[in-house]
Amino acid sequence: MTSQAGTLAVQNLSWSINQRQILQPMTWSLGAGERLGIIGPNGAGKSTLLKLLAGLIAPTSGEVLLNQHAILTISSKFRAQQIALLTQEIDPASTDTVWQLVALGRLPYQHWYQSLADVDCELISEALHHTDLADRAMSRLSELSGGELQRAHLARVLVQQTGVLLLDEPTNHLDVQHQHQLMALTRKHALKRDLTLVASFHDLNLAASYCDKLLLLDQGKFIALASPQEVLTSATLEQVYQRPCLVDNNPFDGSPRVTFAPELA
Amino acid sequence: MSIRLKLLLLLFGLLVSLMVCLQIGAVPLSWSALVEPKLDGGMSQQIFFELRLPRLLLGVLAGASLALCGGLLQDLSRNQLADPYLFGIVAGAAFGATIVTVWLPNLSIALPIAAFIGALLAISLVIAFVSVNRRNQLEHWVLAGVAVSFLLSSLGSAFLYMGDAFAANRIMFWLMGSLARAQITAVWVIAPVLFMTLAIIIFWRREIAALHFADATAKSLGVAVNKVRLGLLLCSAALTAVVVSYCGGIGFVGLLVPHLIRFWLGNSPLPMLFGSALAGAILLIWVDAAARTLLPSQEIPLGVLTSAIGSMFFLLLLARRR
Repeated sequence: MTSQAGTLAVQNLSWSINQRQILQPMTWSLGAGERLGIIGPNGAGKSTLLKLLAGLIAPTSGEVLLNQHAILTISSKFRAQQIALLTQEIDPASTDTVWQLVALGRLPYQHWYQSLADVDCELISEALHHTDLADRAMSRLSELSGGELQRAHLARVLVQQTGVLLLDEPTNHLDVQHQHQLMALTRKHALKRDLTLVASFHDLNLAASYCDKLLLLDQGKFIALASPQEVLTSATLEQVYQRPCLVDNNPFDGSPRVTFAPELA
Repeated sequence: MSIRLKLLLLLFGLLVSLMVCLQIGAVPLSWSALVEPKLDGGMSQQIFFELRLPRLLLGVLAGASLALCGGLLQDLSRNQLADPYLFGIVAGAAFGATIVTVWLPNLSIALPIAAFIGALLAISLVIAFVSVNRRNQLEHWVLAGVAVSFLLSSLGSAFLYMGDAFAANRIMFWLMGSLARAQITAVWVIAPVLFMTLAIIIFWRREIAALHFADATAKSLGVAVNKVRLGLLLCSAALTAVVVSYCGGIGFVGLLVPHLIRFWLGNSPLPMLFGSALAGAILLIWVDAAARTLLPSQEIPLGVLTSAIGSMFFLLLLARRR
């Protein structure tokens, strides 16, 4: 079974730990094939929200609906066929090979007695080719550059063939060139396969360029979910980031461009 | 060379080592007298079946088990320094052995049983701590293991201090590790646990591969991370416990062998773990052969040799790897 684009919705979703509320109740939904960027300062709850969306942790209240089904009622194997997560915790010292990592993406489709079928191997080769890693298949992950490593992890989630893709700060630790390379690659596949994409960002401009909707969080509070033009206004951003800022348009693609005022000497 | 070929080579190496090591010992054995007992009044046969073979089989099982557990625990904890003694298993076994040696000095049969119970106690303490704490995180497992290990060693030392010198001596020797107490019963106890662990590893090979990465990644792939990790931890704890109960402390096999094999065969769980088991078996029977024959009239404790060879080799390995 291959992926069909998925819908995601959260209803009254919140999460607390030790009486501390990390995410305040929020309700919103995302249509099939939409690309959502989650933005907000450190500690806004971006990673927690992604883990909730992925069904890895149980919400304190409310629920996450994946294709109208409560995600925690879906078997973990079937869930892994519908939703994939690229976490921030990427071990750059791993001695696994690129192939081993990417092949893990087929795990949700295999029974214990099966080994990789030809179809699986083709999918893996294809993903390696698309992420420009075909000649690195047998390299250890520890030998890769930061950009290659992130692409290898992207190849793994692509091979998982899910309708929904969750990426937790995928462009962290990458230089400008590789940030755009990774996001362009992700967008290309999202468009081609009609994927629903949710990614968190620190870089507001990157989020504005590659996403068609933005979700702004501040200290666990839902601030806005709308188009980049509607969310990225100087009034909102100054309140959330506590810094004067200027919003104009990126001359290349017309998306909103945010410039924060530096602290003047 | 393909991985399959390398594994076959290891298997072949084990078979050759078995044939050679059966010959090594105080008394030379002739194959012809083994087949034809009349030639020497059955002495060769007796030595073979009652001394050499049980000891060699125990060596194979102990070496394979320790190396397997070491490799498995390194994968499960994502910590290259993990070894079978991580969860206080040896300290627990020594504690059990100490109590029996101090209080029931004449019951030598009770020693492996008490050691096993001690090992189980150590693991139960670790698991109890981790589950009471409700923080099922890797660091908790490892740190709780270290703490339990120290707790039980200090208790064991206290008992030993209050006991007589003879008991202290026995425990010291036991802790140094040896296959000299080899009985065929040890083989019957260890073999099923080893094979059960191997079967579970085959069943969960992909889950183990997923655990090489962050827990969140493994969970997002549909792996029941806590179940798999706990199940495999219990397997390796049981396996280490039975081995330690019969052979005492044989250090460094579980740390060194998986390292070498990862280097040679790569990191993929099945080849790495099965390769480690084969290499651990080969290593231990050769070291035991050396332990039996290096000094003319007495044996060197096995654990002393493995730790000495292992630690030096390990340093060499680290120095060579940038």
